[in-house]
Amino acid sequence: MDKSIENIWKSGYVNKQLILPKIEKMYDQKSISYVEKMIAGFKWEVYILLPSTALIFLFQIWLENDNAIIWGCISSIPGILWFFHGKEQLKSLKKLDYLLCSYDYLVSIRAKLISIRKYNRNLAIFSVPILLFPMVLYTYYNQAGKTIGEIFGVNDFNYPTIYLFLLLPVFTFLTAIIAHINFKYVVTKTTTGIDEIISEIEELRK
Amino acid sequence: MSSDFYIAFIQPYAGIIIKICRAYSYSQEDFEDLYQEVCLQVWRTKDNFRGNSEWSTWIYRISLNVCLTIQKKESKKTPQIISLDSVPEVQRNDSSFDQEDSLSDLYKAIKQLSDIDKAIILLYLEEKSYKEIAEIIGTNFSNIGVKIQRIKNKLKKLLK
Repeated sequence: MDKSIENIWKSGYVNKQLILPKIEKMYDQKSISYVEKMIAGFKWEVYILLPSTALIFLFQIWLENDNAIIWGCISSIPGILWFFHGKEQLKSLKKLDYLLCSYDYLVSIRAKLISIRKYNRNLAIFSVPILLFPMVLYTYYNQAGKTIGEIFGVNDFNYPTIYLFLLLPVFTFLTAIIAHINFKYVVTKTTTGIDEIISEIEELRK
Repeated sequence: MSSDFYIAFIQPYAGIIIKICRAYSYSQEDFEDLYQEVCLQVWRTKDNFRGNSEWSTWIYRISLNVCLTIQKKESKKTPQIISLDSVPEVQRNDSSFDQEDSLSDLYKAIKQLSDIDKAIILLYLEEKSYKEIAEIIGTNFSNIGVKIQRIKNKLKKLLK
């Protein structure tokens, strides 16, 4: 080696004017990768619906009810519909192109995500009575004359089957609470990161 | 980050950031991302600077922290494959091929060191005192001299 490392270092940099990398677009890549990560998370939520639906179907078979396969198919319908609906939402998210600047991109992604989450929350709540009603109706007519306790094998639960219809508001209410908590949690989790980047960009613009 | 802040507090020390980022990046794109991230981090943490040390020491510390953190994150995602031809070129107004080649070779050798050795040798080459190096790295002052000698020997072997 002809030169010491100290000399190489010094002579390599001394009296040389370095051209600094541009920092004007510093948030572009950061925003894109953050959004990509979020979309990947959403994609996972959509694709998990398929195995979940299969599990619901298998659960119906395992229960060995009358017409288990038919009920399995009926109860799997919402999962399948949600899956295809989720795929459409995923497409609409991906359609938001990075055209202008990271700020506009993040703002539009944020708005879109919140509207999707709100829609999904309402869909989940309204799906419950729609799904439960035919099941309750079927049980009501099919198991006429029995008590609820007899139908579900619960001792001393001697209420007439008409009470089954109470399950509709009860389950809808419970679903609404769970969906609302989930909405708050997921939306806060996903938007916090975006909000941090947005506020940094706003600060940078000052 | 206002342009005033950039011009007053970052631009004069950009050389430090460039030198460090170059040692921790494997492509021009990586290098620019690192540079930007360091600038942002300097801006974000400006209020934490208490004036107990030089501003340049603060810049060194932030640069190394950012580079080490990002490299750690990246290595978790994908194992880093070091190509000997992957030293990002830092654009310069004046080009001296002989010097640039030697410097590139030195960077290639530095990249083969461990993260902490990289940090120590970069600070040593920047003529930081052992005390300052120990302070920036957060290590024992007494070991620095021995470590530097060991790293230099390693680099000499790699450069042969």
